[in-house]
Amino acid sequence: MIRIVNYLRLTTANNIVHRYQNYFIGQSSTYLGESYAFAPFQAEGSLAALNGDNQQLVVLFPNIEFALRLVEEGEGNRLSELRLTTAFLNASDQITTPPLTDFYVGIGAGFSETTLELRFRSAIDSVGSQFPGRTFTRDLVGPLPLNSELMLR
Amino acid sequence: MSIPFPGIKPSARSFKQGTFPTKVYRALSGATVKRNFGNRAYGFELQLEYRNIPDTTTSQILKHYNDTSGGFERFSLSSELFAGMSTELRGYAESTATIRWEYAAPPDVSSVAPGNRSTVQVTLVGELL
Repeated sequence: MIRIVNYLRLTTANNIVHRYQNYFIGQSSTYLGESYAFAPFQAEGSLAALNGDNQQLVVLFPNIEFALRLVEEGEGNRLSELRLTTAFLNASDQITTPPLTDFYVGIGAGFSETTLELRFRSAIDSVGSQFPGRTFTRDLVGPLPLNSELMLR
Repeated sequence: MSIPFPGIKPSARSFKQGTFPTKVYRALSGATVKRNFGNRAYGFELQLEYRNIPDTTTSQILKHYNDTSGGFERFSLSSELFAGMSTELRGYAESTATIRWEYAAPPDVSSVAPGNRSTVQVTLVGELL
């Protein structure tokens, strides 16, 4: 039996950090010294990628007030930053193996009558094999990117 | 506002414990790995049967169904519904700290005898708060 918890740390456009987890129902859970409240969400999509090729992730919330607030504070979830950690728990609800953490940037949101979808794309976390081993500067790549769409100049 | 279910002792009662949110991965070999996504049970089920009750009592149940918008609003259960159970067992059945109840289906009313007597069957589900 594997118990899985997602720790979602979302920084919205107004620099407010929202922390939620989806395993400990009706309770808070502490991870890395920070308290995460319960929220009924699920994460779907790629959780990790080696070459930073814009993996997409969808975080699904019920269409309720606090989830709407997350979208609005992130300017339609276009200016949000997400740190998503997936951890595995033992029967005592302790984290057993090193958790997996990935970073994403918001690219929008979608609504239905029951659900609210926050869409994310992977933040740059590594560089493809064809890319020359040079240091990123604004002179080289223009405004420093939030994702892996790079253009050499 | 939560409107408690009428405190009427049922003639018969059936209770099913909730399940935990689990998915099973089964490999081609047949070996399985279970994945658990929450630490509390959900989907409790309570079936109540009221035999040969007068119309006034039937009306109480139907009124409650309407007042809770037919399953939209959740509610708590009064202890009369668990009459005969030990306190310990009732604790499992009620799970008041973690769940609230709602109608799984509209109450089923059967007229069984002249003189305004009916048999009413009610099915409730307990979901996480």
